[in-house]
Amino acid sequence: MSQPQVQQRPAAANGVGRRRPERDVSNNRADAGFRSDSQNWRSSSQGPSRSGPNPSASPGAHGHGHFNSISSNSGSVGGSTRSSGERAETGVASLPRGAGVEKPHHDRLLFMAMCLIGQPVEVQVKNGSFYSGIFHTANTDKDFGIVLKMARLIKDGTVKGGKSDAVKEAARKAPQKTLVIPAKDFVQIIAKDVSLTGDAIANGRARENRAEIVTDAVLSQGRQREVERELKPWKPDDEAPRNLGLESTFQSSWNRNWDQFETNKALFGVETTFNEELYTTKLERGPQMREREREAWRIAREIEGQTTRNPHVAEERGIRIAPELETMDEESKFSSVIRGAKLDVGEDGEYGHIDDQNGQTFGSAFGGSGGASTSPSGSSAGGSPYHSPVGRGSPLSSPLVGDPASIQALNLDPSCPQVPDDVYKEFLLFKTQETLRKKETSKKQREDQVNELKNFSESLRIKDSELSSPKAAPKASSGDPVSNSSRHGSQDGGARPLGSLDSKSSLPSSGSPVHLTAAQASAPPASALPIPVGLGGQLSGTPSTLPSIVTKQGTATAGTSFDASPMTTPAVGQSSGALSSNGLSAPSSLSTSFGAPSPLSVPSVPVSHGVSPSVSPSSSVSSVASGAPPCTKKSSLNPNAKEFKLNPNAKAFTPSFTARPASPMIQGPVYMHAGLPPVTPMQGVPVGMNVGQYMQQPGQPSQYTQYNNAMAAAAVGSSPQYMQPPGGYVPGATGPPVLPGQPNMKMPPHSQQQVVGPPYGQQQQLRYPPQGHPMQPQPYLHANAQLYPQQMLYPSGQLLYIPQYPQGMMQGQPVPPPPQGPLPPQPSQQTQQQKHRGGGIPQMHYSGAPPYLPGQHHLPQPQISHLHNSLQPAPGGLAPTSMPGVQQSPQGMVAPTGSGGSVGGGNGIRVGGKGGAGSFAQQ
Amino acid sequence: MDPAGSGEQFVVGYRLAIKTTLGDDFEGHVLTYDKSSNIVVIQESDSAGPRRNLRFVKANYIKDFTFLGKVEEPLDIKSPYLDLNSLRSREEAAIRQAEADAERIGVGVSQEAQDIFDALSKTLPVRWEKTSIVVLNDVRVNNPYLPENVTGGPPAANERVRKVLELERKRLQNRGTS
Repeated sequence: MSQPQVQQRPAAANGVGRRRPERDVSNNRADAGFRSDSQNWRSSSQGPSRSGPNPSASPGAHGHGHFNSISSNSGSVGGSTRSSGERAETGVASLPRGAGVEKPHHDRLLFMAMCLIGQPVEVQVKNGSFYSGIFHTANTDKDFGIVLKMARLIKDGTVKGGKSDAVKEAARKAPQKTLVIPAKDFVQIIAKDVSLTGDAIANGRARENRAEIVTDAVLSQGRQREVERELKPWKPDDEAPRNLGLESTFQSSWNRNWDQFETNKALFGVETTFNEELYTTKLERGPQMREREREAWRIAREIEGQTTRNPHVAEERGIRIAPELETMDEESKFSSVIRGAKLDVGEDGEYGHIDDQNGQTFGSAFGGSGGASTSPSGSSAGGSPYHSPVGRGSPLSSPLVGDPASIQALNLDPSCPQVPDDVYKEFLLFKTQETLRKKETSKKQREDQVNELKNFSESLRIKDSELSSPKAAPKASSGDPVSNSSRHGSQDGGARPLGSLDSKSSLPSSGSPVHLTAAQASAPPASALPIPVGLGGQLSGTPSTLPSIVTKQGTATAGTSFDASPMTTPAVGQSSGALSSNGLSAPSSLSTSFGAPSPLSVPSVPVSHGVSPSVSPSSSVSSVASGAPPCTKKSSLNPNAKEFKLNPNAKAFTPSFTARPASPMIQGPVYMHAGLPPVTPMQGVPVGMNVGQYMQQPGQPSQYTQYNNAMAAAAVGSSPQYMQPPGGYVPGATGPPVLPGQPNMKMPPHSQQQVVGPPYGQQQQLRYPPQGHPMQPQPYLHANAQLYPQQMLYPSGQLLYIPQYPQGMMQGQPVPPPPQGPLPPQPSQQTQQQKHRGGGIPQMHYSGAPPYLPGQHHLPQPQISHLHNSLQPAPGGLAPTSMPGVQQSPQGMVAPTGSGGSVGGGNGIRVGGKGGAGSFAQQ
Repeated sequence: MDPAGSGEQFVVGYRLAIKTTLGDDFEGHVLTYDKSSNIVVIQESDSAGPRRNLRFVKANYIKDFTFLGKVEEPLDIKSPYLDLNSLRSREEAAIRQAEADAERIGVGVSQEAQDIFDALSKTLPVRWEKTSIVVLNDVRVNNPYLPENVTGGPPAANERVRKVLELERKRLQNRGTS
């Protein structure tokens, strides 16, 4: 009956009309509504009143903000309230001091009315009936009329006592969307839980009043982020069963046999598909059930009987492992992440493991400790060169090693990593093979080697020209090395070598080598070994070097033998070279261990091995042999350069350089600068390394001359390169040569390596050095600082090779004038040297350097002079000088360092210094 | 009582015991009195703090009041600012909720029908469609809301609704008897 009547009603209402038509309508309806039956009321309210008010709002003219806002005639307030979205400041605040009595009170009323918006209220009308609804708005002009939303009659004022039918029916029907209660019918509003503070109104309160269920999604939308909701603890109803828990719930008989599936089936006819075996292991009962159960029980007890420090496990087992845990809150107990890792054994273990790994990873690198031996770098039994020296406390090594920084630097260098395990393995394999071979054919091989050496020597022109001196040197060196090795004492060894050297310029070098072998126990050599071998292989002389290695090994003894062998090998090679004449003597000394056999075989093997690690080097070597351009070699050398980073050792060498430079003053200084406190050591070391290598090689060929040459070239080159880093070098001069080196030099090591490379390269060793071997060289170098002296000894043997290189260098290097100079003298050897020259190219730089060397060669000069003179006078002179210088460098180094005061020199100086000093003195 | 005269008595902060012509008795203190509309706002004495029970009373209907005392700081409003937006949103939310509640009320149905509807609504989604209860959007329960009046929907749903209806009726019956 709604619609028709509704329509009529409005008409009637309009007739009644008051100033606001729509409103009047609604008013009338409202009146009619609760005066008349509920249906009327309902109809009227639902229909017109809904639409009525809204349209009316606009026409309603001024002051009728019914729906949107509470309108007020009082200007300011009304204005403020009308602006929706803004905060309306009501007159409340101003009430106390309001100008007019009326206005403040009115504003306050307005404010409070607004506080009711959206609030459920009850409104009493004139006939006593109550409507409940949501307060929508009010008109506070003159009269106070209000509008309710979702209004419903809750009390019929016309019926006393009990609920009227109208109310009942109203309760059963949808509320009126909008109910307008005109001022004339309005009696009072009863609003409960009203907040008069704006904040509270906007927030949770309304929601609470609405009893709205707030989902997480709504909460997360942050509507009420401003105010935290008031949390209410849940309290069970009186009827609610107490002690709800797993333990208590199923204790009573009636629910102990509760079967959810049965119940569900009975109530709802649902057949269960539950199968326990879907969730657990099928339990097979059989004859062995008891035994199985017993075993399971036993295992369970065993597990549970274990002690644990894990609080969670302990809790599961009912163990109290730590009283303090009892006092921890749940957050700490179960939720928070344990960062201390103190409670968890497993974590500790992990950490320990990590540490161990660290040790494996870095220990070797860091060298000083035994870790090195395990490390790849320490491939040889002797362990990493660095370590061995340190541990042994050999004078030579000690200085270098003594400097932790240098050691670390060395370690940091790719050295450790560079000697890969596979390489090491190969080396070991090779070594074992070699040893066997040596043993088997040691004598024959010796003879063969001797022959070969002779051949080499012959092939090496240097030998001819310089052999006389080299030979002598080799012998001396050979003897020296042994003694040195046996003594280990760098000084002693050095002295002896020196003595030998004195007799033959080579002595100094020999002395240094000895130290190396002995002191470092060939640890450096180990790395170097491959290289030497390769060199030896390439170089005819190399075989000889191998023997020398053997000797070294013998001196060095077992573990170090490898290392030593490498190092020595060069020397041996030299010695062999020398041996050709003196060859036998050298081998003999060497022979102690592998002697001749190993050398020969070794060389060939090494090459192959060398290739694997530093294939490129080998290739480069071959190229070199073929006379490949120096550049290529250099490139290969450059790779090596990284290894040279070892430079730290260089310090020792630097002194040597300084020594060399000494004569060239400028160069010396330059080097010194480069060396400088911090750098010098490093640079020096590398230089030393280079020198050492070179030395060895050089020494072997024309021992001195070659050494000189090689030294000059290599050493110079190396030194320059090293120096270059410092920059001193650049000035130094080697200008062009150096410069090349310098570019590479950026990495002092590189430069050195390059330098070294050349020597080796020439011999092939250089190439090796770059790769795995380079590392070794470096080790040597490091050791070399000390070792160099020893190497020097070797060099004596190796010198032959070196000389070749130098020569080759000289020849190949000739491009750099100085080097060539030397070369000419050694033409005979050049053939080999030329091959070496390939490697020599780097030396070319050296050659550039050599000039410096000559200058530097103060100490060396004597020897060098001999060498130079004999081998390579002018250019060679540089080289030779350098070589001597190198060898001497240790020795001379001492002096220079002493004079120069280079830090690095100190270490190297000691070793070299002793030997050198001896040599010099002798000289 | 003369409204005007009484108006003079509605001083903010006065605590009054008020009787209305319609028989309401209450106590409270005056928060404000607007002469133009002749409305007195009373905060009932049994409420305090941020949540107040207010009465907006037209002074005309105040039959009698007695002065009980004075209240200091009758209107301790710290923040006299209202956010109309939040007010509106509150209103909208309240209306939505009211509408949702309203939809649960069947129009022109018996109390028994409403009870059945409420009972079904506890376990199944239901709504009114005229006088029929629509369950699960498919099954219709028509007057007089007996199990045999369940129609439509897939067999399973139909069967389930029947079952629930039957049991709910049983419960309602029990409740009525007890």
